Amino acid sequence: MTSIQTARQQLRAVRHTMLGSSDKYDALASVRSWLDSAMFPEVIDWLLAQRKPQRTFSFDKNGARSLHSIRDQLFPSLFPRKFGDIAKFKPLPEVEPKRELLWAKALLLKHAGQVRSYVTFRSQFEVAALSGAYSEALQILSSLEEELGYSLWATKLRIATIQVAEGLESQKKYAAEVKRLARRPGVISYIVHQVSVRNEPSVSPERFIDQLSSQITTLKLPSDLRAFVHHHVVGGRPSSYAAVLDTLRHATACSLVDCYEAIVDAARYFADASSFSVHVGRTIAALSEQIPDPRLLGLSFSLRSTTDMMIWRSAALEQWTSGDETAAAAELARELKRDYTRTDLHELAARFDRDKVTTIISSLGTESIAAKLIDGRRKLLHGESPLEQAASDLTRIARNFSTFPWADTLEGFVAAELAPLPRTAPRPISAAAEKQAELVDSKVAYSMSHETALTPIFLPRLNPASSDRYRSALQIETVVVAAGENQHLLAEPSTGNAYLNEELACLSRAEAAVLRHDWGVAIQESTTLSQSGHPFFRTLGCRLLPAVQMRSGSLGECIQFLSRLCVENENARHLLPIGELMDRVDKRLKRQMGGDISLAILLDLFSRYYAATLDQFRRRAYERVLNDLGVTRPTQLRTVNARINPSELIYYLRHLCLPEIMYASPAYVGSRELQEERIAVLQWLVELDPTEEARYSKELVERTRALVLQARRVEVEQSRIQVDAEAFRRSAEQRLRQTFERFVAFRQGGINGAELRGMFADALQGDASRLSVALSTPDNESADLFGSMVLELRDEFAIGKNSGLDGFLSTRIRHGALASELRAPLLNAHVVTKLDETAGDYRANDHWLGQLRLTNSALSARLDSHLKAFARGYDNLLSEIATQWIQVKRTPADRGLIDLSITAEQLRVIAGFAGLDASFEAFADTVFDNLMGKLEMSIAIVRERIQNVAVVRAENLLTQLQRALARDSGDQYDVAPLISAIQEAGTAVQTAFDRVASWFTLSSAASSEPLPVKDAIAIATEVASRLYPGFAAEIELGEAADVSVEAEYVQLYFYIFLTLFENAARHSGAAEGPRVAVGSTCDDGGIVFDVRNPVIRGMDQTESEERLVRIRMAIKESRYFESVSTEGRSGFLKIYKMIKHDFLRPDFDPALDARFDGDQAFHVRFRLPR
Amino acid sequence: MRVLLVEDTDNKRRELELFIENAIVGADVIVAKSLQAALKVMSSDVIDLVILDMSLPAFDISVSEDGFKHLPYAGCDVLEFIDSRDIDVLVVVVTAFGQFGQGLDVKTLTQLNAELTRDYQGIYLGYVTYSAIADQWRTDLLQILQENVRSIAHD
Repeated sequence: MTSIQTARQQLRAVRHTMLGSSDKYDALASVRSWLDSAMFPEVIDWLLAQRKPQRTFSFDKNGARSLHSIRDQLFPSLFPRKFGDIAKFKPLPEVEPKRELLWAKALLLKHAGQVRSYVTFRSQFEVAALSGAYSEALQILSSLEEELGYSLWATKLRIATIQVAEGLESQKKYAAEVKRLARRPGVISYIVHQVSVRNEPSVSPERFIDQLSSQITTLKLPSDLRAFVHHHVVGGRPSSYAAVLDTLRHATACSLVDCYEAIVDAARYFADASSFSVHVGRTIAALSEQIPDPRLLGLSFSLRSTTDMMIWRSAALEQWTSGDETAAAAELARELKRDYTRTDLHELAARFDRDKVTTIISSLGTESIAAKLIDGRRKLLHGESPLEQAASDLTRIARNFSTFPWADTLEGFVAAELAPLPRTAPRPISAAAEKQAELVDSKVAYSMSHETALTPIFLPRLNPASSDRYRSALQIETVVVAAGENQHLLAEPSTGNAYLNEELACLSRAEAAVLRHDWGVAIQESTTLSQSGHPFFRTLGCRLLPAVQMRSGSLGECIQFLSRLCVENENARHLLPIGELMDRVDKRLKRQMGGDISLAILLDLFSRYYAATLDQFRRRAYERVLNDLGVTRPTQLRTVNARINPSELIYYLRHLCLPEIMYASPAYVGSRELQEERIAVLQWLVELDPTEEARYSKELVERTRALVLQARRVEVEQSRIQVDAEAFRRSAEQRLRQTFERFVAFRQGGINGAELRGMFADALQGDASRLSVALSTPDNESADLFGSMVLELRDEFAIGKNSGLDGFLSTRIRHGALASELRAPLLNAHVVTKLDETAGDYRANDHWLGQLRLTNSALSARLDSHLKAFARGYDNLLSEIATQWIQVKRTPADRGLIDLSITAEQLRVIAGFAGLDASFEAFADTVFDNLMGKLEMSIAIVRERIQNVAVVRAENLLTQLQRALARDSGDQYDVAPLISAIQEAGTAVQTAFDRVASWFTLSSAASSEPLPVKDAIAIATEVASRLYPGFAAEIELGEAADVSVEAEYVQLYFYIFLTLFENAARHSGAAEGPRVAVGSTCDDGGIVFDVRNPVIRGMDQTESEERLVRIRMAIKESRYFESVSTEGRSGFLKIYKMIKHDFLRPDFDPALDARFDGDQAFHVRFRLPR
Repeated sequence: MRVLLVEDTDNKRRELELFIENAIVGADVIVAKSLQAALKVMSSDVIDLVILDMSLPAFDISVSEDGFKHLPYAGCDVLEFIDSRDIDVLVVVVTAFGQFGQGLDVKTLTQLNAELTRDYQGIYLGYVTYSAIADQWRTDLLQILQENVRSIAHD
């Protein structure tokens, strides 16, 4: 009586609190925290009974309206009539966990009738979806929504079902419609969007889970709402009980359906979690009394150790375990059609051979989800390719249908199958494996907690504690006789047990041997199993054997076994303990195995799929294989290959004999040899492994092309110092033939060679450029003629507009190339910045000032000043090299190290060789040879100066910079990363100077092979990538790609495109680095190229436009030759000159034009001859 | 004593070469500028001491050779080569960097030192941090050599 009164008093107190409070929401929040939880049903009853106040009703009008408002806030959303009403109301604040559960329970029991109805819909939907009756499944969801309103549960399932039944487009359309109905962007829209993404077939569920898990942590939401979002988007085992309860609270504000699902999920979490499971068990039991949901039975079993769990029996299982697979398959198909939801039958079906599985799933409907589940499981159990894809597909289905027990069990199945060690194997192997095993066990146990019935088939997947309970509940000893499947779990079987098929017996013997540490027998039985003709048992044996070998310390044998297995089926790696095994490979084992090819293969698998930590061992293992067989290169294995397992040889050649691994062997003298060896290996592989011929041929073509391009790039880069001998002779003929005829007439008039040489000796004391002055008297007219011819030829050689050396020096070295090459390493390291031409100073080094996080602005300014001073000093050095060293010197007063001045002595020498008696051709050739000799000596001097003077000056500048930075930063600030970057850049600078020095060699005979246009441009692209940090070119050449470029014009392609790329880099408007798009079309006789690059947005184009006008005018008036020997803003004219003249097609129209495309891009169009 | 100096940076190599000649009486210094060059010397010559840079190109860089790759852990390959062939030699790593590799492959000098100490006992003597702007490396290198290598001048 007292308690009744107390209950009444409490209810009265609640009414009083609610009616007397101005904030009804807060009042109810408070009530939930202090009211005896046994009173929750009465309070909910009372709240739900509140009606709209009658207009004539005078009692506490405001309070009544407010109560009605609370009811609206809490309960109308239990059955949302519009999608936008889901989660429309604010969830009540958090209370202690027990109260949260009891509140939800009271709410659900108050609506037990509706929940029962929901469970019926749910069950109907489950069967329809599994059996592939998708239209029916969608109709069931519609009926559910009509009766019980909208829910996240149904929406997510509808997305998943439409995806499976109708494909991506329909699914996306539906998701978009739902988001529209949700009206405003918010949590529900976000969930729907992400669930829709998760369903896309191209989205890897593993990556999705990883990415979304981290993305959700960054959402600007309260932590409880984040838990709710995580639950619906990512799913899986919740991170904490708080997250479970937060999800429950928010689900209660969504809909009754979502509330019910949330409480079932919460119960699963607590099933193996804590002492709190007692409360959860009671809640589930109470719900179970009124709601016939089979999941509640399973949860009761887990939470309360009840024994009233359903037990699944299967005649098919009995037949299978006794070895009659054919009868079992037929029976299984019948059993599955009776109950599509039975996960034990899914798993059993997956154990059959492929043909039988095909028959079974045909009878179910190949497009049904049940069929997909069975076939996916089969692939994992049989280790069939592509195994990773099968695992992803299963995980995707599991997450998208995660509300159903079969989906959860599926996740546990995938986790257990992909674990490195089989469930039945002994463990732990190592700390890492132990951790992994725990994770897998936890995942499996969590999945199984959702199962609706007990079944013997899952016992091997459960951890010992769980399996004991299951065994007890199943009264397993009697089951064993009927369904010998699990005998191997219980005790050592008697041999020759008539109820077991041979493979099961073998498995049982192996596991019994493991239990008593009888490694010999365990290995023997596992080996037998691994050779079984049945794919299920063979895969199981292949997983068990390495586990036993590792346990017994037979690591070498284990490596050999795994190697053989993986070379036959690389996919098997997903099921094997490669990572764990490699953790245990130590120096002793490596020495013991020496050049065993299996160790090299395992190290390679580890490097490719796990980590790079053992890479140097892999490179050495590659070499030791060869050394042990008495050879140094892979192709030499042809003589000894009979001693190697053919599959392992193929694997070794294919995956280990790569330049990226072989470089660490001292058998090669250069990277070209490495590539050539790989090409030879590929040719051998085509013979050894013809099934993969297409793959090898593709690689062969790519590597051969790369080799050719590399050679041609070197060749092209070495072509910078050039004089066109043919053009020289042609020009000499045109300009000097008549003068030479006059000279011949003088010669015939009686002047002999000795007199001529004497005239030079008397008249000249040094430079022959004074010749015309010194020999201006009529008496010396003959000598004057000779001297002027030589000087004219020298000028043609040096500065001739068609073929002159200075034009090549300007176009190919001074114009951008030199500075780009030598600045590139420093730009890459962000040590130098660009010069702001408007401001006349270098830009601030934001990169390093930001990286160093300097808080002292004065110091920051000083460091920036040091960096700018360095950039200025370095650029001055480059400018000096370009303007003082790499210049043609024709008189002693000229600057430049390329000395082509002609002394009197040299004139005498020339006269001695060809002055008087020779033909014009011989005379021109002699002068040309003499100049080439001078050129050769000069560029040797330039080379020497660059390597010995310029490099040292650059090093000194770098050292001064480091000292200044270290000095100014003192001990207070850590500028070590910057100093380290400068040191690293210093090595690259040295290489860059070496490369520039190498340009100063005379262009040697080039290849005679033509190249396709795409390759000619690729050479320029590759060099540009080296010179301009971040440079990227998008090349779409269409039919022009394969047009041949004659060998002698490959250089022109290179310099034309490099000039354009340099221009793009200078004016780049892309933040990530210079970007260029190259397109082309063929026209009559030519190829039209379009080169576009983004420019700095908002830049003042006026000056550039004016310059373009001047360029067009210079072309029109044929003044472009003037630009050939000058640097700075002359690139387009140089390009025009190259096209117009160097291709030797005088009538060809280059159609060069350049203009801005709006304010964001620059576009150059030109034609090259075909 | 035959000393193999493995170093690709010119000025650092010059300084180290001078240092070795001063520190080790009668030292015969052989220079290698790449991983391959170092391995070839180790394969064909008897070497007593290796002064080893950690990051190197695979091949000597020249006009027609770009070095194949710049290898952040080339020194590890040299050490593994020595170890796997049981070559009796001592190695000191002299590096200008405190961190190697990129992305997931990154290691600090301290981590690397721990690995090398663990994997190459009896070969690897330790490391010295080189700087072009300070001389501490000379003291550190001399100390390692004095502690481990006979015929080092102690003054």
